[in-house]
Amino acid sequence: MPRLLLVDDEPNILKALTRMCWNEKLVPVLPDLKITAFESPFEAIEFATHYPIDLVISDFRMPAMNGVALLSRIRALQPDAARIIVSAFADKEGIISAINDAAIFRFVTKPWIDQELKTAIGAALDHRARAIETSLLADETRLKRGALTAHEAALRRLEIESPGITKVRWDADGGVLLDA
Amino acid sequence: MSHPTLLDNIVDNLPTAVQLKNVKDNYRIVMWNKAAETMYGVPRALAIGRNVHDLWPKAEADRMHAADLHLIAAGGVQEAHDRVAPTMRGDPIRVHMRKVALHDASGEPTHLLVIADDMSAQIAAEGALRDSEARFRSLYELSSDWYWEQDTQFRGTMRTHGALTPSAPAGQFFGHRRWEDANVSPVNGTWDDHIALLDAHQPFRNFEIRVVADDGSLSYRSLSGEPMYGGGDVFAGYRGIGRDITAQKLAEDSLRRGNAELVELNTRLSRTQEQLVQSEKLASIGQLAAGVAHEINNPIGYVFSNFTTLEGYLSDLFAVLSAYQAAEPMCSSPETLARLMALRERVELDFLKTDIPVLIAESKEGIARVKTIVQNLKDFSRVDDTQQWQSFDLRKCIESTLKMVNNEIKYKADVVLSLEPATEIDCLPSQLNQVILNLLVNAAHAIGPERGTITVRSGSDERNAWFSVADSGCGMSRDVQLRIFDPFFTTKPVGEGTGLGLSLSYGIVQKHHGRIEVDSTPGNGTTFTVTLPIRQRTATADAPVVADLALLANAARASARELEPHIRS
Repeated sequence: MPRLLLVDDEPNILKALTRMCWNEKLVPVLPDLKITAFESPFEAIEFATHYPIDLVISDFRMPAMNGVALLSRIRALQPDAARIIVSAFADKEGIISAINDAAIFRFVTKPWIDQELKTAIGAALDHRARAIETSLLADETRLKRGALTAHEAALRRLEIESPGITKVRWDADGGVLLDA
Repeated sequence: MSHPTLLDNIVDNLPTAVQLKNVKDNYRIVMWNKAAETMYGVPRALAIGRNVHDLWPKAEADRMHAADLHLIAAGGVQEAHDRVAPTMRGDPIRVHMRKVALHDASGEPTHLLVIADDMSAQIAAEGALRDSEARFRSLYELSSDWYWEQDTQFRGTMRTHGALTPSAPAGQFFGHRRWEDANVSPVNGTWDDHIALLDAHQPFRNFEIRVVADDGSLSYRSLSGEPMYGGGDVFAGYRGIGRDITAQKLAEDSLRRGNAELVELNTRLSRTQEQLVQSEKLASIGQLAAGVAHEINNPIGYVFSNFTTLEGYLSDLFAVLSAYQAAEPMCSSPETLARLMALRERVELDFLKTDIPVLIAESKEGIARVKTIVQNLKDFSRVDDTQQWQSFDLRKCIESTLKMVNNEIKYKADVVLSLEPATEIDCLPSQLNQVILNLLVNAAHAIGPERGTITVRSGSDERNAWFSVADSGCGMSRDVQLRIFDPFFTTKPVGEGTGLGLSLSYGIVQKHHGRIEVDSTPGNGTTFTVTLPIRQRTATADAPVVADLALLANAARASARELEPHIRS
C-alpha cells in the first residue's frame, strides 16, 4: 500500500486532500493509500526518519518552515520519496528553489482541481515505482556481472524498502543512536 | 463835374478797382470807381484831379510815378500779380494790378489805365493752407504712423513716410493693390472679406497685415481707412493711416506662446499627479493582493476540493436511499411504511435529489469566480513577472487579440479596422494583449442590445505609437470616467466584471511609460486611446514619474523667467 505524507498548516486542507484521495467517484481512482497528515513540518520530518514514504505533498508557505526546506530535509532522508508542492502563493524564487533544491515532481496551485491533483499523485506514484524497479533491476544485473556483492545488493534493497535502515549508527554498547 | 456817362455807370459797378490817369495833365486821376474808393480808402472826390504825389507819401509816390513813366515810355501792358499797395485806412493791401497805356489816333499816349483786384483775403487763405499742409506733413513725418491714399481701383497713389517705419518698397505700393503682393497677408481677417468691404465703400479700422520683406524679416501693420468722395458723392478712392505694430505683435506672440507653454505644463503636471495618485492606488492594491491571495486561496482550496468530494458522497447517499426505497415494499410494518412515506414527502426527497447537484454546481461556479478575482489580483502584484521586453508589431498584437475575442464581439458589433501597417514597439507583448483585450471586451459590453460598431485605429509618429478602441455604445458620465481606473470599480452587472480590467490595463500602460486616455459622452460611445513610446528608456525606467516631475518643475521655472519681462511691461 503506497504511503502518502501530507503537510499543511491548515487542517481543513489536510482533510480535504485526504477525502479527495479516497474519493472513488472521481477519476482517476487512486490505489489504496496509507495517508499520514501533519500540520507541523517538524513532526513530518520526525515521521520521515522512522517510516518509509512513497510521496510527500506539502504546502509552500508555512509558519515555521517553508515547503522547500521541508522537502529538502525529507529528500535527504528518503531520496526515493516523490515530492509535490500544493501552494496558494509562491514567487519566482520560491518555485526555482522548489525545483532546484527540493527537486519536486509537480508544483500545483491552490485552489487545486481534484482531478488534476489526483492525476499528478497517480503519476508521481507510478514514476517512483518505475524508478525503484529500474534501480532493483540494475542491481540484479550488477550482481550477475559481479559489480555488486550479494551483501551490498541486499543492503541497497533494504535501504529502498526501509530508508535509513542501513545508516543506523550504533554506540559502543550496541545501542542505536537517534537524531536529536 | 459832368453828368455820369453810361461808361461811368458800368465802371462804377465793376468789382475791380479802376483808375484812369491823364498822361498829358501831369498824371492826374480822371476816373476813380467805387471799387477803388473801397479798396484804397480814398473817396472819389478826393482822388479826382490829383496825382500820386498828392495822395501818398513821397517815397511811395516816387516809386509809383517812376513805374508809370516807365510803362508810358516802354508801352504795352504791365501786370503785377502780388503788389503791395498803400491805403488811406493805414494797412497796405496786396493787389493783382494791371496797367495799360492808352493812345490817341496818332499813337500818342494820352491816358494810363490802372485796374486792381484786392488779393489780401485769397493770399491769406493760401498761406493758411500752406501752413496747414506743413503741419500735416511734419505730423506724419515725425509720427510712427503714415498716411496713404488709394484710387478707385484700390491701387496705392500716395503715402507719407512714417518716421520709424521701414516701409515696403514703393514699387510694391504705388499702382498696386495690397492683395496683389504675395509678401503681404492678412492677419485678423481674409482678403476676400477686406475686398468685399472696400467694394461696398465701407470704412475699416485696425485691419492687420503681415509683411515679409525681401530679406525675410517680418513686420506687422495695422491699417485704418475710409472712402474719399470728390466733387460731391463721386467715390474717389480710399485714404487712411497705417501703423507699424511689429513689436506689439511679437510681444503678443511671445506672451501667447509663453501662456500656451504654461497651460501645457499645467496639464502635464496635473496628469502626472493623476498618474501618481493612480499608481499609488495600484501599488497598495498590489501589496494587498500579494498577502490576500494566499489567505483566500487556502480556504477556497479546500472548499473547492470538498465540494468535489461531496458530489461523490452524495451520489453514494442517493444510491443508498434508492436502495432503501426499492426495499420499502418488503417492510412488514404498515405504520413504519406510512411514517417513511410521510417523512419523504415532508422533506421533498425528489426535489432534493434534483436540486442538490445544481446547488453544488452553482457553489463550485461561485468559488471559481473567487478564484478568478484572486488570480486578477495576483496579476496586479506581478510577482510572477518573468516576461522579457521585446520589439513587437503593434498591429499583430491587435489582430491576434481580436481573433481571441471575436466570439464575444461578433454577435454584438461590427469591427472596423484602420491600422498602420507595421509599427514595431518595445513592449511586453502578452501584457499589451491583455490591455487590448480588456478594451475590446469593455467596448463590446458597452454596446446594448442593438448591433453597434467597434472601431480600432492605430498610428505613430517618430516617438510614440498609439491605438484607440472606439465603441458606439452607451458612453459614460463624467463621474464614472473619474473612477474607471480604480480597482474594483465596475458598471457591469455583478459577476460579469471584476472591476480590475481597466486598472490592470492602466498599470500595464504605465509600466510601458505610456498613457491611456478616455473620451466619452453618455449616449455617444467611448474611445480609449493608448499612447506608448516606441522605444523604452532603459536608464530611467525605474523612476520615470519622479524624473518627469523634476523636468516639469525646471521647465516651469524657465518659462516663468522668460515671461517675466512681458508681464512687467
